[in-house]
This record gives sequence, C-alpha cells and structure tokens, in this order.
Amino acid sequence: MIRRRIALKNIGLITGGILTLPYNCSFEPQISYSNFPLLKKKEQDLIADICDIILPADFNNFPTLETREHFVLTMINDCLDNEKRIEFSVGLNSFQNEIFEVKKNNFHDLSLEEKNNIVAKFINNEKSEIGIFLNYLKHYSLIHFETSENYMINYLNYEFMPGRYHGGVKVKV
Amino acid sequence: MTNTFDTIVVGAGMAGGWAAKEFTEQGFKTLLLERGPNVKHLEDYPTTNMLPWEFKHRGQLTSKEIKENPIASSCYAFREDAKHFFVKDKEHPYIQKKPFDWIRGYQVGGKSIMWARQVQRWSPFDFEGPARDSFAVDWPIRYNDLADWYTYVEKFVGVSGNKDGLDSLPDGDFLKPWDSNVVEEYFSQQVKKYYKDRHVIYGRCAHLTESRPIFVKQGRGLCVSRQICQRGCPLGGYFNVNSTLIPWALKTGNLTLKSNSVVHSILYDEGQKKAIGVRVIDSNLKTSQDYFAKVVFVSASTLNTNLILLNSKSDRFPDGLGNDNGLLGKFIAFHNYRATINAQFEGFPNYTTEGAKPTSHYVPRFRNIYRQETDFLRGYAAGFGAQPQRKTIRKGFGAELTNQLLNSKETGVWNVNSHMMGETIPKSTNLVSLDPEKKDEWGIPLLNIDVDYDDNDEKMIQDFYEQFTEMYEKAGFVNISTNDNGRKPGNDIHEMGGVRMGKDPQTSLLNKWNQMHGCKNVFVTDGACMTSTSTQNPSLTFMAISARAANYAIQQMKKGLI
Repeated sequence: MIRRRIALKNIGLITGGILTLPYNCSFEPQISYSNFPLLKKKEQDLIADICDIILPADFNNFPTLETREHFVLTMINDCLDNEKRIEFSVGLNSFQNEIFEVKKNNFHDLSLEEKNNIVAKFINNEKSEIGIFLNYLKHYSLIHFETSENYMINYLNYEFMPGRYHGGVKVKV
Repeated sequence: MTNTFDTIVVGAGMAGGWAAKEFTEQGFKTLLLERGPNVKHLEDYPTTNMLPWEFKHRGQLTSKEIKENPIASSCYAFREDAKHFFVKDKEHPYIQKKPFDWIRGYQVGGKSIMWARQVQRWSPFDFEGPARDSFAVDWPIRYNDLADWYTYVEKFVGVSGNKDGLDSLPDGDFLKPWDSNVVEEYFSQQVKKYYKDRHVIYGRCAHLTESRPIFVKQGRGLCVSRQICQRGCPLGGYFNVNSTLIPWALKTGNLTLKSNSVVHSILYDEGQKKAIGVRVIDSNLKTSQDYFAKVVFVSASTLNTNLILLNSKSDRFPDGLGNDNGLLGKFIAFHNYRATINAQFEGFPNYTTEGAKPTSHYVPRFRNIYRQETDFLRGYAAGFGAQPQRKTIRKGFGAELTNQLLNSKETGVWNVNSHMMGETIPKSTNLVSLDPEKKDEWGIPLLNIDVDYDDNDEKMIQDFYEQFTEMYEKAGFVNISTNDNGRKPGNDIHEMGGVRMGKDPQTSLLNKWNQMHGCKNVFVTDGACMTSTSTQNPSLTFMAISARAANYAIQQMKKGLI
C-alpha cells in the first residue's frame, strides 16, 4: 500500500502540476516526462541500466535516433494507460526497494553478474510487481531494437520503396 | 468572390471530386465545398516520407489518443502516421442509438487519402438482387447502364487487375497486375479443382503499374509499393482525389474550391419549385453565407449527405428535402466484416517472396448467385492473403535475447487468412435521423444513428466459417481458426443508403440519374444513393455513378431543362 502511495505521488496524479520538481532538487539536467513529473535523474539512469541488462543497446551496430531509455520512457509515459503507468511505478519502487534491502547498494554499482541475477530472478515472474515492471522495459526495449534502421533493413528485409514483388522466390539453402 | 455558380458540389471526396471534374471540364463554373481543411497533393502529406524508426511512437497511438477516440481508433488506419486525416471523436459527435463506428475524413480528398484502394466492379447480379430476392426496392439501373462509366473511371483512375472472365465480377480496363505468390496461386488452383463456382483472383486495386499518357498528364508516377498509402503518396502511385481530380478540375479555371465550409442545408425556393443553392457555415469563423447555382450535387459522404438533406427543411419539404415519402434516412446498410479465418500452410517450405505489393487476393461472391440456395439472402466476398511466416524468439534477456533477435528467420510455413465482406440487407429500421435537441458547434442537429446487424448477417457469418474451413481443409491448410472480431456496423467504412435510387417516387428518393424525385436540380451521388450494398468495395461504383449523373445533369443544363 505504501508502495502504491509512493507510486501515485511519483506519477503526479495528485500534484495538479504543482510539484513538478523532485523533493530533493538536484538540478541535474534531465528529460521530464509529463506523466512522471517526479521521476528523478537517478531513476532514469536506473531504467537505462536495467534496459541495458535486458537488451544491451549496441549503438555502434544498431544506431537509433534516441537513446534506449528515452524511447522506453516515452512509450511508457505516452502509450500506457493510467492503470498500467501505476503498475510501472509500483514495480519501479519495488525494484529499488529490493536492491536496497537485499544488496544495500545501488543497481548501478552492482557487478554485471549481480545485475543479471536480479533481473533473472524477477523477469519470468510476470505477475509480480517487479516482473511486470521489468517486462514493460523489455517490451519497449524490443520495439526500440526491432525498429532500428539496421535491424529492419538487414534482418527483416525492410525496404522503403520496394518497387517490385516476386511471389515465388526460391529460398537459398 | 462571387456567390453564384453554374453548379455547386457538396463534398470534395471521390463522388464530389468526380462531379467537379466533369462539370469543370465541360465549362461549368463550379463551387466545390468541403467542410474540412484543404489537403494539397505533395504539400500536405506531413508523414509521407518518414521511415518507421523516425516515428516517436513507432506507429502506435498514445493512450490519450485511444481514450479520447474510441471510434476513430477502431479503424485499422488510425495510427501515428495517418491519424491527422481522421475525424477525432470529440470534434464531431453523433448519437449512437446502437453501436456504430462512424469513421470519417473531413478534408479535401475525404477518405480517398486513406482508403484501401480495392476497386471491384459490381455485377449484373448486384443490381438485379433486390428485385429477385424481394428486399429494398428494385434498382432503377442495371449493370449495363453503368458499364461504360466504370470503364471511363478506370481509365482515369488506373486500376491494376487481371481479366478473369467472371459473371459475378465483370472485368474492366486494367493495368497489369502485380505478381501473385506461390500460395495464392496454389489456393486459386485448389479452389478451381474442387469448386466449379468459386474463384480466387487477384484483388483489383487503384494503383499505377503501367504508365499511360493520361497518368503522365495528371502528373502521377508508378506505384513503388511503399505500403504506406494512407499517408498520401508523393508519386501519385495510388488514386486519391487530391492527386488527380482536384488538380485536373483546377486546371480548367472553372473550379472554385472552398474548404472549411460546412454545408448547413440546401436552399429551396417555393416559387421556382427547385433548389437555388446552399447555406454554408465557415467552420472557423462560424459565419453563414449562401451560395447559388442551377444545380446542386450532394456528395458529402453517405451519412452526412443524409444529414444535410434532413436538415434542408422548407414549407414544401418540412421533413427534409425531397422527403415526401418519409423514407429519407432509412434503409441504411453496410458491409459485414466480422468474420475472419486464419491458418498455416506447409506446402512451399522452400519459397518466399521478395519486395511488396499493395493488394492481396480476392474471392468473389459465390453464394446465391444464380439462385437462392441458402437459408440467408445474398452472400459474401472475401479477401485471401498468404505471407511467409517469420519467427522471432524473444525469450529471456541479455545476450540470449540478442542472439535470438539476430537469428530471426522465416520458418518455411506460410500464414494464410481471409476476411468476410458480407452484403447486408437494407431495412427501414436501420436509419439515421436528426436529434431534436442536440446540435454541433455550427448549429446543425446531431445525427442519431440507429443501425444494427440482423439474423441474416449472423447466418452468413456461420456459412463463411463453414465454407472457408472446408476450402482451407481441401487445400491442405492446417491450424485453422475462425474468429468473430466483433466489429461494429460502420467499422467497414462502407455505409450506404438513406437516399436510395428507385423507380417509384413513393418508395425511393432518387431516380435513375440520381436526381431527386421531388427536386430535379438536386442530385445525390455518393453512398447515400445506393439501393443495396453488393459485396464489393463500393468506391468505384460511387465514382462511376457520380460521373454518369454529372454528365446527365450537364446535358439537362445544356437543354435548359434544369
């Protein structure tokens, strides 16, 4: 219940637009998301870290117009309905609590193995708060990757102007 | 600007566009009114050259857009790339007496910008249907009355197709087809093998696959199959009003195109016993202005045409223009798109496709063609599509997930699918009317829409499931599943009727030239005029009827008869 209350506060449902800065204003440059006005830079960084564990962003080979975390947060901000945004926020808080309670540390400072272990522990439990949260990140990370220019063109054979259709092409074995 | 013209055309969509072209080509000063904004070919297609990865939401709608637009977002084409061409629910409310998705495109070009571009001719059986099967009223025209006009339109629009030689789907003036794929060809052969009366053919579509002088003159190039037609095509590769009819009419110097002009009503003069013009409200300024002409063509899209006529009240016509028999707004019908079937085929594991094409295959109606043979009236056509199946595993996370994505591949299995396009029977109980109290922001009554499926539609769905399951099984398709997608009436975007054509003024609103029985200088040439719905996509027929009616009106005007 407490987590839900924190989440509600976090997504600004009851702020009426007044509290648009985090309580502890760090004045670090950050992108703000209209439905998550209290989302802190460190939370955005956390989401970037988790996304990178779920589906590593290979920016050299699969460049995109926006960063993974910005795309994921944009989709969560814009495309999830209110109920699902609450689910996301609850999961985010639970995840942060889990890290702090169990590891006594920030996710960012954990070893790669520890990060993998934590994600592995929850990502297949799609009904848990953290599992739901991780799967939102996975879902939008996949969309981001699978709509990258290189992936669409070289792995999905996407063509903007095909100009032809051949209906009986023998598959090269 | 003068407010007097030879002709006024209400609605700059397909039907209105054709009327405007015909009038202006033959020297008639024409005012073409459109309630929405102008959309200029090339200039006003904001997303046309955007690549998939350039869209902020990769094509998806935001939750806010979905929540605010339950009607518009029910349309397959209302997505991030083309949503700006659709009417938003809040902007233009209407009252659903029963669930009805009224999908609209208020702009110059109307829905021709986002349409599905399937252009099958109607057949003699369609025009003879109501008389043979005793529903609605007899059409006052037959296929032969329209055949030359179909050709006339096809030559200008550009239609890619095969000459199939079928009674139930007459051939037209076709440009070459795109290639069929191996499974489409296979299914076509299998159906031919097992059924004498069923056919699987190339879906005729309004795309340029060959250049002809007329298309060069229009400034249109060949279709390159981008598959994003709903954004508007900078090449003019598919037909829309904006790339063809509007510039063509403007070049004559006889067209005045007035956008943001909401037609409130048609003005009827009791002394002259005819319409004298229209009352227009500026959609932005909300000011009113009357325009006058000898002839008025109403082509505002099916239900808006009904609305305008119902709202055109006078002492002579207190219940709406031409509505002596009280049938205006009644006998609305549509196409039943609820039934679908999906399956897999494993017969061509070593084949795939390359490139893309803007159409799929088509199964013309085979039920009740020559005689009544089922416990439901009329029948259904269907699409048929076959695509190589691609499998991408997305399990786990990290390197495992990445490796799976990088090994996405075709499986050798083909996905196949069909969707039903059922004829619905026009009924007096399926109707639209003006709300007595509620008005829109332009002071025009809101439209009550009271339209629903009936038992005939339910029986047709069951028959589609049975027949297509049998056809799929005979073809060796596996994992067959049928589905009722629950689409509401209207979601097919083929609503028709309300101002139907007929022979008798007691039972219809329009004569065989689309002329109002009760007001001879008003013509209705969009979907509102349709007496029955056939199974075929209706846009080509709307265009042919509109061109035919316009040329009749031209003859009558030249003779001084209207």
